[in-house]
Amino acid sequence: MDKRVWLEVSALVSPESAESVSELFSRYCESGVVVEQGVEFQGVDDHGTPYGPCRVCAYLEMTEAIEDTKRKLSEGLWYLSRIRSDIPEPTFRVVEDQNWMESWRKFYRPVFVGERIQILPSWIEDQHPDRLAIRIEPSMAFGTGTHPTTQLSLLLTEKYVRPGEPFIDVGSGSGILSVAAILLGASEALGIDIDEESMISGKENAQRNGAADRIVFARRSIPEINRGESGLKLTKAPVVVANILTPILEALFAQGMAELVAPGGMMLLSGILSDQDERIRAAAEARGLVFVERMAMEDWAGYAFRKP
Amino acid sequence: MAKKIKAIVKLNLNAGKANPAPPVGPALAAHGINIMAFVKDYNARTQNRVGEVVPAEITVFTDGSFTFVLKTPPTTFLIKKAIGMEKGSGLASKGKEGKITRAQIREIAEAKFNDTNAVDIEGAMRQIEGTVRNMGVEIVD
Repeated sequence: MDKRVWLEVSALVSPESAESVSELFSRYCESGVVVEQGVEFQGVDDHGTPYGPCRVCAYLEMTEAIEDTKRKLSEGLWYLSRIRSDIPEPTFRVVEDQNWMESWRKFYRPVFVGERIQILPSWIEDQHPDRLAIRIEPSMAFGTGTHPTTQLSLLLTEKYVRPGEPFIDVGSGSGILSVAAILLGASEALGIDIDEESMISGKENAQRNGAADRIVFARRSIPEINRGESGLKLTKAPVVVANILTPILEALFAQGMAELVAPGGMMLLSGILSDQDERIRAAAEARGLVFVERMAMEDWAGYAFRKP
Repeated sequence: MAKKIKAIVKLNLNAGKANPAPPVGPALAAHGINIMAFVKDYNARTQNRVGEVVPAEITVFTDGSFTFVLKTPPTTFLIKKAIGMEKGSGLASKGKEGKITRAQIREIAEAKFNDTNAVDIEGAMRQIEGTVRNMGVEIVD
């Protein structure tokens, strides 16, 4: 059977004109319309602000009516350009149908972290058996594992996890740090988070990596655990990691996060912007933790503190 | 974990009927997003709104992860729904395609208010009225 072929119609317009053009396209492209916009960064704290023109595009199936539809789209944009001066002529491009379900995967490669870890998308063969492979399925919760905060927390975990001893992951999210700790030899791990989706995602990733029997994911708060009301077996560990943002780390310290660390143990922190160093040190040292080391990657920092 | 945003992608899709074919496939594949994860989640969240166009605004992060929120249907969709119209003429000069009351415009403005840059409902109503006129629809009291 011949491959289906699509005609992509697109126009680069101002954000103010995007809805009008989108509406025009939607009249002829019933499967839907895409409006895409880039971002700019206004300072180190800015995660990204929509900026610049919008690319509006839609797809037409190649049928006998295609030339008529192209003419109508061009006419429609011409009429809109009488009202809004930024409306250009449309751009047309032929797009062959492909297995879209798979095509996004070509962007993924193994990611090496530290000396012993690799993050490996589930469909890629392991070609580095000398490294521990953390298998992931990229999804909403977890991307490629390339983000500096993920890498810093993995580096700290690799360095400080104690084989044969337990591990606690505060704000476990995708569960990747708990999985890493188990692969690195921790006896058991507890991942806590306040988000129900994280529970699902964490369990899936533990299962995918053959670590489900040694990791418990629980939707519990730190005060619940410290009051002995969590119903969990593991409530203290010699290594505790938290990869969250500085304001949340500060709030978690106020809730008693440092009490999860066993005496002589390590508190590992990530998710800290470089200019928030003093805040995080003050929060940790106020709870009796002693600074051990700081790691940096791009504009992010990771910290290791020891509990006397 | 704080992440940097790579792009904002808004998809106007039919509720409950998203699939990996264009426009979803090419729009998301270009950003390395797990297409099936999005399609399943979008359809699950919009299954009770079949028949409506429900935009999804997707925030794509530099590490390939993403989040999305559902937005209110496009203004033109709400106008057509209010007056039972299939298609707008697209050309105000072509003639009137139907009539809409100011009360209906107010209802649409209230529904869309959070997605507009208007400071009050009257401002949002004026924006809706502009779209109404562009569609060739007459405003009546």
